[in-house]
Amino acid sequence: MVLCARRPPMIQRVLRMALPLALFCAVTAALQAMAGRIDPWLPVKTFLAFLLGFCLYLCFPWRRLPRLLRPGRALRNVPILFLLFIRHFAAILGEEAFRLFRARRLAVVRERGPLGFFSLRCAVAAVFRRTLARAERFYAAQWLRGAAE
Amino acid sequence: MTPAVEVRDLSFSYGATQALAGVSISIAPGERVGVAGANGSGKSTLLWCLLGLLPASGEVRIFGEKLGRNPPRRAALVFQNPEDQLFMPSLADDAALTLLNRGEDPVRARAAALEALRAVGLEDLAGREASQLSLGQRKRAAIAVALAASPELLLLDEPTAELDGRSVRQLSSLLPGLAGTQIVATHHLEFLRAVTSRTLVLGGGTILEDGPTSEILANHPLLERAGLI
Repeated sequence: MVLCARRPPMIQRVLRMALPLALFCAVTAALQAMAGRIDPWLPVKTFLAFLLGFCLYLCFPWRRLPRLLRPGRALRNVPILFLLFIRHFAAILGEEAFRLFRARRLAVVRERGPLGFFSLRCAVAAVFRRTLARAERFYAAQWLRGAAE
Repeated sequence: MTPAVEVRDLSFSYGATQALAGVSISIAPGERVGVAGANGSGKSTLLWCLLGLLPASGEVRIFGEKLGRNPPRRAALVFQNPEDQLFMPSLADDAALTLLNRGEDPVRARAAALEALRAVGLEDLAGREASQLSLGQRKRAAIAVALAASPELLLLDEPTAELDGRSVRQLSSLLPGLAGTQIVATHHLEFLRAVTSRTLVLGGGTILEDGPTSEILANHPLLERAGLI
C-alpha cells in the first residue's frame, strides 16, 4: 500500500500563513476595545500598514545607505545605522520564526485545538527569547566595533 | 615586555552558576593560544570577559591597559555566529564600518576593508551581502571585519563550529599567516594543533592545564577529564 500525504489547496495554505497576522490584528482590536476605543477598521488598517511596511522594506535602497555614513557625524550616522539594524533584525526575526514554526508543524499532531494553541504560544515565546539572545550578541559585536564611540 | 593579555583572579557567574572561578593567565605579544574545553566550560565567557563584554570581578589588562568604559581598540573578537557581526548590505561596507565608527576617512576605511577581505581570500565577493555566502565564507568575512581595524589581539570564538572539513582547512591555513596575538576558543583538537603553540584547558570555570599544545594534546587522561575526548 502506498501512502501519500495530500497537499492542501493553495488558498488554504495562504490562509494558514495569514493566521498569525489575523490573530495579531484581533488581539490588537480586542485591546483597543477594552480601552474603550472601538475601531472596527483597526484590523484592516493594521494589515494595510503591515503590507505597506513590507513593500517599503522591499523597495528601499538599502545598498546606498552605507555610502551616506560620515565619520564623526553621529546625528547623521545614527539614523542610518538604526535603519540597517532594523533591517538585520527583521531578517533574524523572520528566519527564527520560519525555523520554529516549521519545527512546530513537524512536532505537533494537530495544529488546532488546545494543544495546538499551546504549542503556538510556546513557539511565539521561543522566537522572542531567541531573538533577544541574538540581539544581545549583536549589540556586543557592534559595541566592540565602536558603534557607541 | 608588557603582556598582550594579563588576567588576575577573573571570576564570573551566570546567576548561581559559576562560569569562571579565579582564572589567572598571561599571554605574551605574538603568542597563539588555544582555549580548549567541553561545552559549557567557560571558553566563550572567558573571551567575553577579556574584552569587558561581561561584568566580571578580577583584573584584565590588554597591552598593559585596564579595561575601561570603551571597548579596547587594540583587540577584536570574531563571534561564533558571523551574523552577530555582519549586517551591512555588502561585505566591504561591513569591514569598513569599524574604521568609520572610529573616525577614519571613508576612502581609507574602504581601502582597509578591501585589504582585509583580500587577506581572507574574499576580495571578489566584496560587493555581496553576507546572507548570500556559505557559512565558511561568512566565517572568513567575520574575520576580515575584525582584521580591517588592524587589531594587535585577535580573539576567535569557536571558529570551526558547523564548518565542513574543507572550510576548517582553509581557516587552519589562514590564521597562522595573520600577524599579532591570537586566542582561539575551540574544542576542535586538530584545529588547535594546526593554529596554536600553547593551549589552556578549561574545566568547571578553572584552568586545568596550561602548556604547549603538542604536550596537552598528547595528555589523554587530561583531555578525557576535560570532556574533550
